[in-house]
Amino acid sequence: MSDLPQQSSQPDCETLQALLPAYSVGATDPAETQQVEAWLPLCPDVVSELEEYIALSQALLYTSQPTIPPAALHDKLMALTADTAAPATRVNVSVPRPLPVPRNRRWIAAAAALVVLLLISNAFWILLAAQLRQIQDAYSTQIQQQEEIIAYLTSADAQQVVLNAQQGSVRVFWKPGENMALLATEGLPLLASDQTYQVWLIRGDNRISVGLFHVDTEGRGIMIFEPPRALDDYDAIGITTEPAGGSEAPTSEAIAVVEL
Amino acid sequence: MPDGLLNDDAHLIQRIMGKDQTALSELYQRYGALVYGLALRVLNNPGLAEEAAQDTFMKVWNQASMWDGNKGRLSTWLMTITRYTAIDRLRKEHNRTPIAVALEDIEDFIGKRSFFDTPQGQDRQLMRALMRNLPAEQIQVIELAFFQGLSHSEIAEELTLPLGTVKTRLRLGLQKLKVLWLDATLQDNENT
Repeated sequence: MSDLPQQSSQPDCETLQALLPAYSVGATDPAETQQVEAWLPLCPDVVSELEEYIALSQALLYTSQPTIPPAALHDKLMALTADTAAPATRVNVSVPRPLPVPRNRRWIAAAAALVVLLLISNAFWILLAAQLRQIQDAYSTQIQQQEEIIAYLTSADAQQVVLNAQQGSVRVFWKPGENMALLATEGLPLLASDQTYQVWLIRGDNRISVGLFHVDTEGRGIMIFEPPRALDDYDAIGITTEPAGGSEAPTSEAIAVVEL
Repeated sequence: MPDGLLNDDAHLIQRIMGKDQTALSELYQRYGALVYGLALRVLNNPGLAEEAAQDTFMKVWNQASMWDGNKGRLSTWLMTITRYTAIDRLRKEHNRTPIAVALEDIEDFIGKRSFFDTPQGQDRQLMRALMRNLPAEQIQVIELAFFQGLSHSEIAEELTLPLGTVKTRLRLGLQKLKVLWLDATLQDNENT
């Protein structure tokens, strides 16, 4: 059997079968694709196998880590669709998104005072501007994350549990029937760079890792994860501190846990 | 998949077809992280991933009627659109011919709804665990084909490997992964 099938009116179902895996993920070259599509109707026995490969490729889609998109994306989408949207359904968005007023005022006041003091040195002024940009970026990131949590919580069917934490607070939010949940923390200790927080779902004697997360200096962290089963099917959810990169099984006592 | 969520998704799409912008916002809140995560996996660039995610939601806004709830979950349809959109963008970035798959063709690609189209069948942790059973060289060609959108010959060129070697690795890797995944999914479905 050659690697590249020759054009033929006679179907070679064995060759076709060998090409199905690559075809299902779009990796066949154009001539191969053409051959597969010409032979498929003539080889009905392999159609069910193709359906299995397609199902597999769909499952591969879900192997990516869900990641909260930049908050500005939502507003861009709303702006792009505003003209074609039914007027009564238009979503109000604010572009550009301002920082909360109280924080802005504090930073503006601090910046003004510092700028006056440092204007005598251009080098200091440049340094200050860079520092202010960093601070503003940090706040923007935090605000984006908070907005995502709030958006999640405003969904009418969201549920939540509060974990019993040694320090700080840990909440898990999820929607019944969906295999996605969100974990949000506040006040957890900042870990050394060689450590990480790891989240476990507990079912009987099994401990299933659902992901790692880090927290900022305020102990705030967010993680979206996909439980293999509905959360209600598990006995508990817990968090441990593990070496950076995570562990196959918990290696320390849980710092937060709750029965589900 | 719970009927409630399916009905909810169907209702959401109906509202989007009626140009209800609040429905688009809800769709984004529900699936934005999945869409952006996949786009980021393909493009490995936050800016490009944001554009691909935006294009995906715009396609849904303009052609929501293309989703057929009888053929699969809304999330699977969205993710398939995202994959092709992101791969197209990636291919343009590398001066390769875009795939340019139309939404009508995506419906054909998804095919008919199966019992694998369930949360158990799309278990990220399970699939990642199963992939660890494959040799690294097979995982590499699967990743290049599925997440970079490369064909047999493009992978061979990328890895400077003989074309036959690439074909064999991809075929054997996907064959083994399919067997492992079907066994695990069927067993899981039986247990539940």
